[in-house]
Amino acid sequence: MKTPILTSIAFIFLNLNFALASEPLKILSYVADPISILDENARLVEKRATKLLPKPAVDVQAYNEDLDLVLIKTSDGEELWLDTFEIKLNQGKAVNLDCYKLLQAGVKDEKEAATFGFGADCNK
Amino acid sequence: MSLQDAIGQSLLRLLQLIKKVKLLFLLPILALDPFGLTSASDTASANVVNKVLSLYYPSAAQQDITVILIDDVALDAMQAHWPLSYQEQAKLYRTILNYQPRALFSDLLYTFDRSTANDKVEFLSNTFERYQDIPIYLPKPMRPTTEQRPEFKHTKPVFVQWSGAEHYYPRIFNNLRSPAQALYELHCSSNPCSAEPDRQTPPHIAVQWGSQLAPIQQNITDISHCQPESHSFFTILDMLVDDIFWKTNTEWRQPCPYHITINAAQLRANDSSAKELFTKLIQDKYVFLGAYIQGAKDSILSPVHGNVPGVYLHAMAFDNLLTYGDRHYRPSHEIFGNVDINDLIDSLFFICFMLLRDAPVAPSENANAKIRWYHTWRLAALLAIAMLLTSLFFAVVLHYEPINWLGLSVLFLAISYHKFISNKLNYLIFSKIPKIFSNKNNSVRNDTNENSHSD
Repeated sequence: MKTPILTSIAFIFLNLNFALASEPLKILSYVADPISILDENARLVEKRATKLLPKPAVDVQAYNEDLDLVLIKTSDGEELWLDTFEIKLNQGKAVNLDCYKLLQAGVKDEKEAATFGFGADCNK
Repeated sequence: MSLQDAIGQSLLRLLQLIKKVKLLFLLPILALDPFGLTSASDTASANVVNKVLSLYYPSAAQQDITVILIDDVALDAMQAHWPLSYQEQAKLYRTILNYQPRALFSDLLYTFDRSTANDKVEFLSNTFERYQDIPIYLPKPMRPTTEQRPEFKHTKPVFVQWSGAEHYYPRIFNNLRSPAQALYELHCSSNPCSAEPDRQTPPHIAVQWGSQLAPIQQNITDISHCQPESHSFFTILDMLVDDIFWKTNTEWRQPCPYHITINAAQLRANDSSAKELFTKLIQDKYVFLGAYIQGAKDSILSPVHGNVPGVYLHAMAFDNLLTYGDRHYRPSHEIFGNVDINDLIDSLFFICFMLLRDAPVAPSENANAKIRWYHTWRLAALLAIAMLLTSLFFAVVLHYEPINWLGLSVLFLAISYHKFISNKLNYLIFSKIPKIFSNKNNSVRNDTNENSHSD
C-alpha cells in the first residue's frame, strides 16, 4: 500500500523540480538601492533608484555568465544590464563556503627556479 | 738619557701598546664587512630578536587587515588558469569591492596588455571606474614604461619593485609610495596619527613580524597545521634551542601567515552566512589581494614564517605602521657613509672587550693561568649579556634594529677560547712536557746511578 503513495510523491516532486528548472530566469528582488546600471562590458552607466525599475518578478532577457550580468527590459523597451550581486534571482548555483587549508609557508631554503610555460589561452 | 735611548724606549712602548691592542686591528675588518660576514651575523642577530618578539607582537591592527589570496588551490576550485582572464579578474575585483572595503591594494603587476577580442582590459578599467569611490592601489611596473596606463586612471600607483634598501621595506622610492605607506597616509587622513617629521624621506621599515593568528581565522580555514597561540618562556627556549642546533633540529617557525586570509575561491560562496562572514572580514577593512602560483611565485622570506607570498610583506609593513606609527622598527641612524649607530656600538663593545681583557683589574701576567682564563671567560659572558640587553633596549625601547650581539658574542667567545687553548698548549709545551721529560731523565739517571752503584 505504501509503495504507490511513495511513487506518487516522487512523481510529483520530480515534476515540480522539472517545472522549476524549466522556469525562465527572473529577478525576484533588488538587493541594492540605488542599483548599478551597466553596459554589456560591465561599465557603469548610472546609479538608478529601484522604484524606477520594473517591479519584480522581472524576466531576464539574457545572462552573461562570464561577467555575471543579466539583461532586463523596461516597459518602454530600454535594455539594462545589472550586476547579479545586486539582485536576487529565482535560479542560480548555490555555492557554500568550503573549508580550505590555510596557506602553508615554504621552508627557508625552498626554491623554484622555473616559470610556467602555459598561459591562460593555451588550455582553452 | 741619550736621544738614542729615548727613541728606543718610545719604540718599545709603542710595540707594547700594539701588542696589547693587536686585535683592535680587527675593527676595520668588522666595519668593512668583507664577504658580507658582518651583515650575515647582523641579520641573524635581528632575526632571532624578531622571532622572539613575534610572540608578543600587538594584534590591534590585525583585525583591520584582510588578505585575499589566489593560489593553485583557488585556481583549481575556480577551474581557472594563470594569469586569470580579465573577465575573471574583473569578477574577483567586483566581488571584493561590493563588500565595500576601506581600500584595496592589488599585488598584481600589469606589465603587458594581453587583451583579446573576447577578453578586454576594458573589463578591468570599467570595474575600477565603477568603484572609484573606494581607493584602489595598483603597482606601477618599472618596465616597459613607467607611465601610468590610461586603463588604470581610476587607481592610485604604488611601487612594489625597489633596490638599495637591503632587507628593509622602503616607504618611498623613486617619488612613489609603497603600498604600506600609501595605505597608512589614507588611514591618517581620517584617523589621528603621530606627526611625521620627515615626510619626504621617511626611514625604511625593519619589518617586525607577528606569529599569533587571529581567532577568526579558524572560522574561515583549516588551521590544524599552524603553531598554536603561545606566549610562554618555553616557546622562546624551544625557538632558541632549535636555532642553535638547526643542523640537527627542525627549526621553529609559524607556517601560517599572520594576517586574516581568505582564499579567493571562497569568495564565490553566496549563501547568507558566507556573505555575512565576508562582510565582517572585508567591509571597512584594508584589503590586500595577492597571488602565490606555482611557476610564478612571488615569495619573500620572513624570519618567523619562512617563504610567504609577497603580499604579506606589504600587509605586515602596513600593520607595523598602524601599530607603531612613526616609531616603527627601523635601521639605526647613520653617522657617516654607511656607518650607523649600531656599528659604533658594536665597535665600542669590541674595544671594551679588548681593553678589559688585559686591564689592570685582571690578574697579573704572573698570576695563575686558570685565574686569567676565568677572568677572560667571565668578561666575555658579561659582555654577551650586556649586548643582549642593549639589543633588547634597541628593539623594545628605541625600535632600532638590534646590534650585532650574536656575531660579537661568538667572536668574544672564540677569542676567549683561543686564549684558553693557547694557554693550555703553552702550559703543556713549556711546562708540563719538559717536566715529564726531566722526570724521566732523572729517573733514568737515577736508575743508571743505582746500576753503577750495584756494579
